[in-house]
Amino acid sequence: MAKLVERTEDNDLVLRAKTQAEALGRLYEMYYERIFRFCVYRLFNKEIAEDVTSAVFLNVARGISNFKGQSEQDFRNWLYAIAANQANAYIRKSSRRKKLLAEAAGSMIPAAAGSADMTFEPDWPGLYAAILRLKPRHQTIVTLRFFENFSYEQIAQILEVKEANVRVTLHRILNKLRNQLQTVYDGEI
Amino acid sequence: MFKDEADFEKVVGRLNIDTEPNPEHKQNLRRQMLSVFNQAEQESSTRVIVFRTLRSVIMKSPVTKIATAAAIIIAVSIGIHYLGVPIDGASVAWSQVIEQLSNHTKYKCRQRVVREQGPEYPTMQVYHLNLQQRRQEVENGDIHIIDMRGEDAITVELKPAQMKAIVTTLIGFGPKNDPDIIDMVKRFEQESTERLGTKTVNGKVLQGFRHKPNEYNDFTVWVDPKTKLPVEIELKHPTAKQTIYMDQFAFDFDLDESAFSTDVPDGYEVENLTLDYRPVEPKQGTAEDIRTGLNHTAYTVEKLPWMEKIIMIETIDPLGTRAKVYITGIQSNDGNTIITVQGDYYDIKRMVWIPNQQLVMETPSGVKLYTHPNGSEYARYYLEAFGKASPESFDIENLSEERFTRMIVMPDETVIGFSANKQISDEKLQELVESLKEIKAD
Repeated sequence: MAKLVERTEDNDLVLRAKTQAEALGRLYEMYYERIFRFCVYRLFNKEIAEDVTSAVFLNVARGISNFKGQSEQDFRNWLYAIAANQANAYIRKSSRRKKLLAEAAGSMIPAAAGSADMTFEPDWPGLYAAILRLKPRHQTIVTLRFFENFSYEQIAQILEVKEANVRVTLHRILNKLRNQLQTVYDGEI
Repeated sequence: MFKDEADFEKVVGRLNIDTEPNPEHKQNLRRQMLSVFNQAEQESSTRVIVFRTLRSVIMKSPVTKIATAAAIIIAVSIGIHYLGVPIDGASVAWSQVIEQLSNHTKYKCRQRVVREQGPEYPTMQVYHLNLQQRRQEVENGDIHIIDMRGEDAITVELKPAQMKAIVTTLIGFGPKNDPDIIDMVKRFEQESTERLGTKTVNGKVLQGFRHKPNEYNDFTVWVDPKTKLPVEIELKHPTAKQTIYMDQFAFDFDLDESAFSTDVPDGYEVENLTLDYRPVEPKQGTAEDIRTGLNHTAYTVEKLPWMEKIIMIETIDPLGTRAKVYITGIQSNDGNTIITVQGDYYDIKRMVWIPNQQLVMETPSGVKLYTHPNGSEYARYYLEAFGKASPESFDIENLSEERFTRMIVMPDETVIGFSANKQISDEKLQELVESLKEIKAD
């Protein structure tokens, strides 16, 4: 009986979270780590990721009563959209972006001599430095696709664009990213 | 470097990125977020506050299915109305209807609610005297009077068949306006009110209008073209899976104002209840405070050898019901923190969901312990409330994943919430339960 009650309530979790702190708390437990991780991928620095994660969930607390979605999928899309916007807002300030670039550059393992061939693999700071040079929206797509393993469909839902649009954009992004990586490891950051 | 998408995916997969969160940040943010959420709730409009409170109190959470008389009375009228932001703006398309409605300050109608889930609401005749006074005549003969004019709102539930009356004072609740559906209809926006054509009911042709301000509310209003007044109103709440039907309208009914009096007629046995809506700062109390503060049997824990400290706290229900609760916190010699919770509405008649839970213990003296479907969350809220009121007794940072909840049902049907931060042996649990003693006046 207890299990049945629990299951019924879970189906209703997002609806209940609009009015009940207990349900919102459960959603928080389900998504905190995912959003924090997303923020780390987007912002490199864990302290900054904490700040942005805080901003995301405080926005959720303020806005959930007016949130129109009903399912957990709706909530997830909404949550990631907020997280992407918050991360983008942070990065858009050029001084912050420079700081993140400098931090990533400082952590990079320099490419070995003659490593510019096809077998060379970037480390995380190097890759981050290259990603950071993309447009914020494109950074979001890269993070959602490759770091969060979201499908094209899910990314399209979060960004409220067509799936085909995500596919085409990602193809272009990867071309850019390849160039950026070359630049980063050529020491141009 | 990488050749294509699949190749890049592999590159990312091989990266070693530290994404381990800081538990302290997680815990602090959770608290901050729920505080902001609760604050946002309090800042919402009256009807939304009441609706949400009632939803959380009555409709959904087994934590708080405290079916109080006042809550039910108000829920029937408030909970069924508008979900979301207020409707603003007059409608030219509605001008004739609105003009007619504006000429009437009071109305009565039959109100039915069809719900796919949750408790059923009874069909009733509702008399709206004004935006703060209402009378509801329920199909089973009960009568509800709601008066929200004063600082303390009052609801009276009369049960003529049993000659019983329940008078509930919602201290610090008002004055507030009744969320009145006709008042909302008057403010439908012109642009979003759709004409539906006509239908014939009992030989009378009615003109239909539809207004869907958001996905939570979908109004259909059928108007008599001759009187230009509503004959039927249907309000669908797709998200709440319920529909409210209002018909048999009569405007400017003739009913003496005494029919809206909150004075209980002679001969009724009166039960007085209070719901305190005033802000309450947690404070330490005594067993005597619990006894005098509760309207039913109060219990205290008799100190057992393994108990190092017992502290009693009076606070507002952390679940948001606005009711006052009494928390008794026990520190055990093995580092556990155990709390019991008592409140006015902790009894089996109101917490009807408890017997449906799993019975985990029954003591020889007839005390029963049941599981709680949201036991971990319930324990968190009460342990946090206890820690907030008495930081020296419980550090919220020590909140354990082992925490759990049981609902204790005493032989006299008083319910006591029981939560522990860590697991506790059955022997200790039974000892503790058997140590619960009624607090007497002396």
